[in-house]
Amino acid sequence: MCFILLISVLFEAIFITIPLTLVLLINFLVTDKKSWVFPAAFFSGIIIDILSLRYLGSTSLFFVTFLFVIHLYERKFETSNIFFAFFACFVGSLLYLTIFGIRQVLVQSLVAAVVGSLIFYLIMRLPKKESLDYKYRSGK
Amino acid sequence: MQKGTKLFSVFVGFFVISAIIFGLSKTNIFSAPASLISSIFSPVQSGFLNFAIGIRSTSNNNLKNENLGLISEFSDYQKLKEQNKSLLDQFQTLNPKSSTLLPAEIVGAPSFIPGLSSPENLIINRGSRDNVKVGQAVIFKNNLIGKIGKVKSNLSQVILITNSDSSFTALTGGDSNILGVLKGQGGGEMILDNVLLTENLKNGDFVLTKGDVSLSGEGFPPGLIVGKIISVEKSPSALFQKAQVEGIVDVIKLSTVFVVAGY
Repeated sequence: MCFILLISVLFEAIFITIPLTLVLLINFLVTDKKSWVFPAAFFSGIIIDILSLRYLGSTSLFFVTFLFVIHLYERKFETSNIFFAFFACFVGSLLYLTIFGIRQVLVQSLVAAVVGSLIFYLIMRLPKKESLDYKYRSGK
Repeated sequence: MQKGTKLFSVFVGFFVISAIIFGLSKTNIFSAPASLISSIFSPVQSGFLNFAIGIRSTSNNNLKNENLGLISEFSDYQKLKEQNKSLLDQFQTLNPKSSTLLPAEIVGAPSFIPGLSSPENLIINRGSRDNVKVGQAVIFKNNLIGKIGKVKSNLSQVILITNSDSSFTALTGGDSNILGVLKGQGGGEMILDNVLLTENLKNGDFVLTKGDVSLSGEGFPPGLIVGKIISVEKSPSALFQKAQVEGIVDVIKLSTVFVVAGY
């Protein structure tokens, strides 16, 4: 997971303006519902800020806050479905791109939402045994 | 309930840390660790980007480089002709001397669709420790690429001339010397605006920088190639005419640029 996040951070800093890291973090939270997503969001945000020459902490602040808002939704609604993943990725990307002044906000948000849905689908297709294995290793 | 409380406390912890870091980031307190991390990632970034550029630039590179050289030579010829004609005893248009140019590798060029859409900014591996300052021009051969927008200790951000926040005075080359304002439109496009209706803009005219160098050495030197006019929009009812300008250099294919560090 860390390696995938690192690759997405590098992609975002070098190649693309689509918030791939945010999309990944949303999917990790929605599928795994564990607290490790917050430190992952914090550290990936810090690295993005350094490599993109933004104010340090700005991206982390956004990531952590938005993920918490999604977590609040989880208390009331069922969020482990592709529609919620699409919606969360779309809204998150919209806000992210607007706040950080990146152009073509609507189109990029739609693309990010589609990519997010795809990632959600792929994560949910992972064999159940692997996810149980992870839970076993983490002592659950 | 316990899990929810744990998540909440983790969130609060990281939120507070992020807020503190964000608040303190406006001072230079984190510049040392940030520059250490960026220096660790810099070779990875340039390697990634060069790998991608290598994949993208498949054919016609020699022809394109030759074309770029010929355009540059033509612009030099036009400048020399103008100089002789007006009988000046010093260079009116400036070719920045090689001793004042700082080579910089591009380590980041984020765009919507890499290879298809144009980036708005570049990240280069030179910063304040190399005496790079905000406002300095960034060029490639005789072509203007952009200007330095943000500077950290070993990275800088270049705002491209096609960025929608970019705007500067420019004039057409040759004998016409028509003055206008070159404005970036985003998506790799530019327009030459605020040109008087009485002027005669033509397709194919080169657009050059007029020059706005400040006393501290920041700004665009005169005579740098910005692009070529591809269409003219002239309406009698409008106050000014404008022209669509196409850049000569494909920024996506660049791996090295030069910062005009002094005069």
